Amino acid sequence: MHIVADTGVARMTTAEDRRDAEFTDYLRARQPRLLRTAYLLTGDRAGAEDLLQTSLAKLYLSWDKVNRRDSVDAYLRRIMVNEHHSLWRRPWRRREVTVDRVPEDATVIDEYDEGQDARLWELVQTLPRRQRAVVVLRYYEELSEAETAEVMGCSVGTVKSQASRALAALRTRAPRSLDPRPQEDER
Amino acid sequence: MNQQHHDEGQRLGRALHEQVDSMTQAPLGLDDVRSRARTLQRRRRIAVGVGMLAAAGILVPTALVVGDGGPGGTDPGYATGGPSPSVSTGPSPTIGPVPAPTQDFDVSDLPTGAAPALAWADGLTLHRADGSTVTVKGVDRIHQLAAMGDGWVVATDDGQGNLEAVRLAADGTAGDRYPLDGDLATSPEGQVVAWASPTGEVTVVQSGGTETLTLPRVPGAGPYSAAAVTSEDCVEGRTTDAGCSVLVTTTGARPQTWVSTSHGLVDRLGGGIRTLTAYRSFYAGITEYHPDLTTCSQLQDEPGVTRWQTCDFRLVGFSPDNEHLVAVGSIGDGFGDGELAILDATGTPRVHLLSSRDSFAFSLGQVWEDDSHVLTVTYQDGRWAVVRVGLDGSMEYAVPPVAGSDADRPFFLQVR
Repeated sequence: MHIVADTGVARMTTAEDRRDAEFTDYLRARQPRLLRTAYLLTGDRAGAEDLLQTSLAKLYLSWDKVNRRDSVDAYLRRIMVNEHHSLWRRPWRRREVTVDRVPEDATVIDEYDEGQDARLWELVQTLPRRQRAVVVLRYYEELSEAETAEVMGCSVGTVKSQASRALAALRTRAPRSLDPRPQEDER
Repeated sequence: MNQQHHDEGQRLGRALHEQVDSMTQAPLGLDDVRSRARTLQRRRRIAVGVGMLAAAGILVPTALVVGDGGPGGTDPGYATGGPSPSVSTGPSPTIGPVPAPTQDFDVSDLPTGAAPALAWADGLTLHRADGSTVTVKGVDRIHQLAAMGDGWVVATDDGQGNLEAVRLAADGTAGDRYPLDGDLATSPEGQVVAWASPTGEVTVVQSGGTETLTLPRVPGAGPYSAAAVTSEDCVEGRTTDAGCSVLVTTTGARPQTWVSTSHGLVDRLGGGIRTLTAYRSFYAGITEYHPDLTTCSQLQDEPGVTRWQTCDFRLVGFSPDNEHLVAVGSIGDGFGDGELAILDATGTPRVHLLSSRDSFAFSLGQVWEDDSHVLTVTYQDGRWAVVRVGLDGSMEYAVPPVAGSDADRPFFLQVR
């Protein structure tokens, strides 16, 4: 604790005050992007906010230990992914989570139309959680395989295999939606 | 990565951006985060008590507790990384450093051995140790299972997030229902099942479900969780040594372990153990909680006499012969119990399994089947199984894998 003079009135600034100020700055700067990632992991807005709130709380509790401030995002991503996976350990709590819509995991979409992004997103939501997390980290966050492995707490080989399985599953269910050519043709 | 994967990945990335790039809101403020942090701390304090095995308790001679303050002076609060609050007279050895994992916890392809030699649930089908089965009637789902004589007590929920303890007859028909907080606990031989309510009342059922008793309410702020029952008969005076104690953990601002006795008294379990996590002749429990959710635990010969301590593991349960403990990682957060270890009574890791790296296998609940085997429910690659782990690290399926969502755990092992 140190004393800061302020117009003649001594005001104490505690370590907690400093931490809260730093954390508030971080919230302002990063929250929208983090919420987007949480939404891609959970698939619904309420679940995303809940996941992000819990993950930020864990980050807050460990804030003083996150010495490399440039790695805070990576640290929080790992918390989010882990927390998202840990929800299944609380079965009665999971039942309180709502979803915006129920994905039709048995649907095969083989037509290319303007709704392809929505349909692809629908299918992403049917992927197993770990494959979906790899998809979000690799193809939305654009992390490298090594960075994704670090976040997931697994090997690079596992990231490769999980990503390959995810793409194969999406390709099987919606072969045209993953085809990049029509998108390029539009340009 | 081949070109096809690269292109498909880029296409997928564009689709994901399309879904979320318009989201620019920042709905959470610092107060929201701090509020959730406080909730997490309370939850973590109770969660570390999950998976309690049969236990017995010896009261440390202290005065009758009145209110939340009780004896024992000031609450130590959170540890800040300083020495463990051991109350033994000499320094307590800290085990470690933990050696490198001896094997990966990959349960994707194991031989199948014998079925569990204890009761277990597969959805709403209850399996007895002798292999016979009954189907539960009147309960929609099972979260925990305790066998008692010919009957059962299961933890379920009412569909609204409220837990219930439900007595089941031998044919699986649901009977009386009780509000439940935390875990079920059993006596060493399984003749008594106990639980705490959301308001701290302690209930025991015994004699095959024919006798229900209420023990003194546990003081202190909840949540509450029964941790152990000390003996096989809670009816006072039936025999010279009748009577029992139920150990209950509480969280709130002060994690504590309480002892509610059939004599009508409530007292704290002494010895510096804040959350008892295992007992069978020895005591094991958490002595330190850290703000980052890590913990330190001690093994005590009796309350206050520390044998060793560790900040690498939570001590889940003693083997029936007291020679070994099964333990999990200090935090137990995230993907699940990523580390599963079998320690000998000296604290030396005998088997150290690492599950959370490459195999993506997770261990949920660990129960000693006999002196040399631990059973655990596992999840890996979309398949649930019950795996038997030997003292030498050998593994086999006790229940072969079945496909299922990670949100719908089918298997539960009997609480012991």
